[in-house]
Amino acid sequence: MKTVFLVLSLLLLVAISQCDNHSNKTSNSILGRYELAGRDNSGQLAFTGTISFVSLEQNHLKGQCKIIREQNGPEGLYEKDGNCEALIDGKKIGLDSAPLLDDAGLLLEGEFDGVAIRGIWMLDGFVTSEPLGKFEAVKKM
Amino acid sequence: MQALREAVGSEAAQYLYVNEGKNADGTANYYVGIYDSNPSTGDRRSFEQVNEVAGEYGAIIRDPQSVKLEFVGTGTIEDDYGDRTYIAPASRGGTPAATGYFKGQLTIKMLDWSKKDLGYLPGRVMSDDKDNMLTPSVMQGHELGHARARMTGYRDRRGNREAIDGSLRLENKIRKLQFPNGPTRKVH
Repeated sequence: MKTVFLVLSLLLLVAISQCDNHSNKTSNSILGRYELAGRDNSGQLAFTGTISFVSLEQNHLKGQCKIIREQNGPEGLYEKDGNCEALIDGKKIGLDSAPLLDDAGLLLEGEFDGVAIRGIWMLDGFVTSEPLGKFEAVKKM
Repeated sequence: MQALREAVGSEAAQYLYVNEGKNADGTANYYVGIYDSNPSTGDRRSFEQVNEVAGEYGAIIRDPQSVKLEFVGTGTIEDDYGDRTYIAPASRGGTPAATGYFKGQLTIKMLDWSKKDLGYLPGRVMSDDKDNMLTPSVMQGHELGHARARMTGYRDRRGNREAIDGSLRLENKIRKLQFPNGPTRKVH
């Protein structure tokens, strides 16, 4: 009986450690450079740019974002070339282009599939906008 | 100051006072302070004990860090990090307020409500699903919630579902104090 219990305990320990490894791999694989494109709800290009995630502490990603407003970008979308931050929760990721200015900036909410982050975008303000379209950030390196 | 007094309610408002100071350029600034007891009634309770909103405002006012409240007109503002936003009435093309660092000072930039109405919150963000006119005390309280989060080192991140959303918490405490049976705000 003791032997069975010991074996089961060992199996459980191995399973937990594998699970941790997998989680760390997923988290670390999100670091890198992405090419970004956002479209409005009618499919027209609203913004382009790049995201470079350089560090991950717990679930907090930090990096640099360059956002260029395209012809169909809304007036409240400001171009950006500087720090941005994101939070990850499993595959889900939420990015704030203006992390040090509350009630401002471009918000991206999406999921990372190992190759790209895809989701919806909004503009932050005293009232965060409804989703204004979809974005895709494709990992390049 | 009037918006601060409205936010904390008439009883707690009696504890608040203002000291005038001078900026380096000669312009005036005003510091808000708290009396130890109610000077009108002699109530010995502390300001923070009067109600929940006063409890939160007391922590902000007594914090060694200061937060500056500044009126601005309609237009673009830019913080110390180059991030920009457009100040305008809510739901009319911009945000009526924003909180961040300007010239190294934690600052709330607010649309000057003596010259422009503050706009409204759309029904989708309210508990009764009805549009809600924005008042100065509610707007200021929301921004002070953001400021408090920064003063305590906690970033108010909307991506984190489990995180306490300081701005909505304070905004809703003010709403409940002013209108106990009125609507509250559901989401940012």
